[in-house]
Amino acid sequence: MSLEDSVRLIVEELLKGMDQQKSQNSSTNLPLANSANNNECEIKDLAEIDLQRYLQVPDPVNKDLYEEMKLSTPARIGVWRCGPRPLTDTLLRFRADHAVAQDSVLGVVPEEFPAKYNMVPIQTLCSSKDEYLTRPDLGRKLDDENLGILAKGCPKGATVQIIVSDGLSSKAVEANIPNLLPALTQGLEGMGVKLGTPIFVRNGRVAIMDTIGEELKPEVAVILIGERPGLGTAESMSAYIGYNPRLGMVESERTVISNIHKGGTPAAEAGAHLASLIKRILDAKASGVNLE
Amino acid sequence: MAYGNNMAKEMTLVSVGIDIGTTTTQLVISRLTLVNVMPGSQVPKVEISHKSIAYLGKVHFTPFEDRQHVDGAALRKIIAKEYEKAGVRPEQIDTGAIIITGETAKKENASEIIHSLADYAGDFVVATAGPDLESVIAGKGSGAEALSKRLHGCIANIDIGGGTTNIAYFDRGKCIGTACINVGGRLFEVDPISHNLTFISPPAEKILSHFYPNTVQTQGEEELVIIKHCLRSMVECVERVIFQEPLLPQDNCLVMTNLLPNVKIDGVVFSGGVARYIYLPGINEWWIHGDVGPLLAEAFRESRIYSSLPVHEGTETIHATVLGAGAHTVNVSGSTITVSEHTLPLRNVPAVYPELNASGGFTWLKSTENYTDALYRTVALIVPPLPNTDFTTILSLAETLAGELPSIKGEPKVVIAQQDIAKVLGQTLQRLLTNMPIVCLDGIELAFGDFLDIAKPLPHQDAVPVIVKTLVFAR
Repeated sequence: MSLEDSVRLIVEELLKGMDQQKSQNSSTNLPLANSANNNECEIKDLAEIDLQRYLQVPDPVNKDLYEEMKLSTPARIGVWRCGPRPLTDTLLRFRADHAVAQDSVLGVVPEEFPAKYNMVPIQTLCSSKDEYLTRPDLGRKLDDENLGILAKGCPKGATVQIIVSDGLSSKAVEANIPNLLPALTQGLEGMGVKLGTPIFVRNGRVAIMDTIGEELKPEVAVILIGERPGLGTAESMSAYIGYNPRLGMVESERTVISNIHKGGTPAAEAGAHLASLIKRILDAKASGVNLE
Repeated sequence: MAYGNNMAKEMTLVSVGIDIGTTTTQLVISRLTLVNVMPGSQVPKVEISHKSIAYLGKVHFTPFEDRQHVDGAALRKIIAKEYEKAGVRPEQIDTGAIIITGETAKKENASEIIHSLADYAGDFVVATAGPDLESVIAGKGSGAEALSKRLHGCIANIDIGGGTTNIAYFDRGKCIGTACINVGGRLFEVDPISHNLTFISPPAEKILSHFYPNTVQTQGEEELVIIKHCLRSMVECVERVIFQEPLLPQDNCLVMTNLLPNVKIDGVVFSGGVARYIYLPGINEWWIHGDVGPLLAEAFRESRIYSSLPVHEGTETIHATVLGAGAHTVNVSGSTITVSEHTLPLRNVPAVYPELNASGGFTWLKSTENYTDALYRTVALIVPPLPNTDFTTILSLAETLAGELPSIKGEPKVVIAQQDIAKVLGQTLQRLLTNMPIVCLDGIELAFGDFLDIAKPLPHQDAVPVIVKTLVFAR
């Protein structure tokens, strides 16, 4: 019997069992004690609970210390147990966080988002999320149509070209850009730096910076891109900065600031920090290891 | 790829601690190692990673001109000689503190001397006095602070010097209260040869006359009994303070400050010169130092403090205060801050909290009015935690500050945030207040009544060393 056949058999068995249960339930006609609680509106969103303040151990010997330990790390410690297994709560939350991470990878930044921040929207050669995930090379390239949009919408030769891309987390873009972008823009303009028109790239990889650099020839390009989500946060963003961005530049030429999110460096502060870092890169005329 | 971090190497600061006490004066030079503790790809965060003692000076007797005046010239000579022995010049000292403690702080010329010494000792050496700060510094230097962190409990540090007993409570690494009591080993001085009393300090005199109002000159065994009785009653006063019991009439002349909260104490650490004889009892020649320190230690060993609380040994006893002054006074600010050029260092900046205005926002105008006299070059406006760190929240805060800062006296304008927002807040302020010198910091814990000394930024770093002088623990 093939694997497919056995799966089909199991599913059929399960469905049969469920049908039987259903008929039993309807035949017994007992009032369901939990029916009110099962109402969809009343189920609490597990992901809403602040895990670091959620004390699952019943009657802890030293509650203060337990709290202190929980607050010291986002790791899932002190989660209690049921026999040798985690509590249902813990398991469900783990899966819920995993689902949030997956949603973030597969989700899309809303259509109207780029316009709200006066960004020119373009798209890489990846036409779908699946293609984006399986073909990293295509996430670094633009077709003629999109190159045309760039040429038309963005002035060449800016001192600093800001690029925003969904990368592996659309949520990171939505959560951080509203606070990061104005702080970064204010910081750079305060130092008298000439900015290009910001660009939003759908399905982009870090090295899309090279392609855009080749086309627009800015002195420095910075790409703000969603990081691969983890179970701790799905909203983390990185900024990669390259001096003289061009096709063929090597990874060691990029400077990176990672972990921009609520629990890491807050977005607005990160924007201000990036502004001074970019100023330093402009002054040194170098980025990445060349800056050290 | 490479990292946005601009400091891979370690940095060291040379820090001096000078403790001018009732009996002794000592100098210690330590090296503070600072490193970026964040992974290279993240926004840097500088912390003091290691403290080591580079030079531990000899214990000198504090020189006095007479009973009311400290001998400033002799003190300077002691310090100059110790610097020479340590092989450093004052200009090589990056930071540190001179602390004048115990009975010496009460001398008429104490303040004048300590400030001139601080100027001599190095560019950024703080002059401090005050029993509360002394208690905190001793507790840090003795290791009581670290112990409370390690044991996750509340540890009382009892620093018994020549003139005062300084108590500080540390709850999981944080000082939660201090007290200073006029009980010390040198309140009675004796002749080491004849063992007769040669000097009785004013607080000891008061206790003595309370118990023996009509006593004439006594000698020998009888005198020893009287001294021991006085010391026992002094230690009982310390007991009453620690166990939150009502004070007796004779205690009032001993208790100088008492801001200890009523909490359960998990243990006690003794430090200071007298502590040595608490941990190593049984000395027969109690007169050896020309005072009654060993007898006082004995009285402490017989007290309820010793018998009813777990007694821990600290890392330092006699050197606790000087080490605390040298190695534990410096903090490092956050690494994303805004500092206009040529605005630092700053000394003695009072921390000012805002009030809430009618619409629920912050205003600093009223609270800064208390600091308008010429004593303060500028004030530090404290920004309490905001509900969020969104750009719009910071922008509206900056607009409020920009509206108030021009009418608040002093330059540069110093703003200290309690959240990680100093860079974006500073940049926003700079845009709103063009050409106004601004220092905007975060990452420093402050309380009402604190004073700040802010040093020049660290080389290759945006962080600045800050010394917080906590003077008040009342809440």
